[in-house]
Amino acid sequence: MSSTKNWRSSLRRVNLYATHLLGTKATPVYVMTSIISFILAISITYGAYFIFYTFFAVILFALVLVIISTAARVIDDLNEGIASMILTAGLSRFEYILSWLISTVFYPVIIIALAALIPALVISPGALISYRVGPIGFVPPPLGMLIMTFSEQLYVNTMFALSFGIVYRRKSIAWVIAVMLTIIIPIISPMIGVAIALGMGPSSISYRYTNLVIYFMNFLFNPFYAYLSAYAFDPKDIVLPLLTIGISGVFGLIFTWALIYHAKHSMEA
Amino acid sequence: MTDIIMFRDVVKIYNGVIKALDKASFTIPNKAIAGLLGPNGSGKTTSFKLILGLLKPNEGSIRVFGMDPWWDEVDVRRRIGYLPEKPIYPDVRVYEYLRLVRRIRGASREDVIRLTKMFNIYKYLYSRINSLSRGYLQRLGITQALIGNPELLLLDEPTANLDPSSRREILGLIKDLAKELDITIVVATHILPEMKEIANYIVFINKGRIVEYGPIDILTKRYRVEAYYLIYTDQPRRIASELISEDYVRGVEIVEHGLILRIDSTYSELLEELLSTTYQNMIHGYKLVTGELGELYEKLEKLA
Ligand SMILES: Nc1ncnc2c1ncn2[C@@H]1O[C@H](COP(=O)(O)OP(=O)(O)OP(=O)(O)O)[C@@H](O)[C@H]1O
Ligand SMILES: [Mg+2]
Repeated sequence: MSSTKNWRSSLRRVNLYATHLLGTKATPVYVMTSIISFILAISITYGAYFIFYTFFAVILFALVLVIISTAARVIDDLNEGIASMILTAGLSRFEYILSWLISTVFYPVIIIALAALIPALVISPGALISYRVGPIGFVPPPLGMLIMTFSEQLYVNTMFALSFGIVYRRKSIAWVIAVMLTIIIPIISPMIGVAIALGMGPSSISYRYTNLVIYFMNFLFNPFYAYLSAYAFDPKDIVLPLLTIGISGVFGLIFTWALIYHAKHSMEA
Repeated sequence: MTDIIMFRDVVKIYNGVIKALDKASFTIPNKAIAGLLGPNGSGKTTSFKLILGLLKPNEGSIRVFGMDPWWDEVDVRRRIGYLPEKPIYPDVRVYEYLRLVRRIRGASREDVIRLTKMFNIYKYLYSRINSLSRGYLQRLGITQALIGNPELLLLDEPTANLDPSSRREILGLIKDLAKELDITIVVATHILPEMKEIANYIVFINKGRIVEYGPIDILTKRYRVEAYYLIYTDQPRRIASELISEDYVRGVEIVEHGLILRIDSTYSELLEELLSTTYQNMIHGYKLVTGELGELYEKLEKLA
């Protein structure tokens, strides 16, 4: 029933509205994304990523908040009735939601990931996959894994928060979930980890358990943090990192699907 | 004439409790100029949103152009021009919004420029939409509705909240559209006289129920609606005594400069024929005083 022509005209409309949003409501995301992409690209170009990743948590937090504050404006548009104006112009509910996701979530995440990947590929592709010895003998995680888990976390966090915001038609819910995922859980998880370790009595084994607790508390929604703690647990282990990337990836896809499915079936404008 | 809109036993409930439409069934034929009439809160806007596939009915079925508007939303909406009751535009400039609509609908730039000139909003293209006055907002509303040559035009309270002169202007525009465009137009309103000269079909709705629908001429006959004629004459008594014996004349009243005749509106044509032949020399002229629609409305309101 849906011929290629339908698919094409549907994509054309999504592209149109996404472009419109990009030039209007989504602008703050692009300003922020461009600045961060630039810093990321420069620091990687000059081989300074091992300094940089100390600040990843702050950057991640800032990005999640900017993306959520922009993407969640779709909830205002739905509630106020701007959405129905756009729909009556000839957009489907699916196309409408997809346009928002593309302009406020997909593009920024892809831009960030590319801004890190491209300089790394050009300057030193080896850093993407291999361990390199940093200053004072520290061995930072491979850059490729950092970029991958970082982008995944950005995506999963914003998508998860946005899904609930749209389901309940409230921006505040999207905000609360975003803050929970990017700040509260990462802060609480080491506390719990340390508490358990202290209960076990200080030893090198309990240090490992601290990291494992952090890993398991984060691996669903926060693959980047989970990856860092898995790396600290055992830099040579490959199972946990792959598990993290795989499960969070599937999670991201499920939430994309859930969000679009929900929007399509119950979005009354 | 085939039906362009078909509602069968449509129920729409808001928030699980507010029944906005209650087993509503009606049709609107292709190329009709229809009035969707009903008091405040009767379900007019809800019906429009269902036609556009913006709302999903809880029960019943809806066909617009033969399609289900909820599932075939894009194919249905692309063919409809909609002037919402309270349009809420994104906070952009007029041209930005019109460009977006034009691109989504795949219409030509010339087409839109022609419309902006026709509705006199050309000089406001670079203004922010939020800075427009109500009258111009309404013009923008009609302009965006007509982009892409819709086959069906839905106008929700097009004259609400306008001052008398803007009201007259907008009504004039709608009348012109009805005459010039060979399309179906549905106007939702509770202001009856506005529809009198435009509509040839009505759907009367009250408290979510369809009280009656059909072509106006058939409905006026069915409800034996009365028409009032003011006849200017110097011999009112003579004409009155002659006409009072006719079956269809329900009442006569002598007034200054003539008489008022109350008749079964089905016989309007016959009376007018008579007045312009037999009584031609006795009268100076005549005029239909009360709208048939007005009385029909009252009758239907009592029925509801
Ligand atoms: N979004 C909504 N949520 C809850 N109730 C609603 C909503 N929209 C309409 N209603 C209710 O549904 C009923 C029908 O409303 P609708 O707007 O369709 O009437 P209307 O005929 O357009 O009235 P008006 O002449 O005031 O525009 C009213 O009782 C109204 O309060
Ligand atoms: Mg209304």
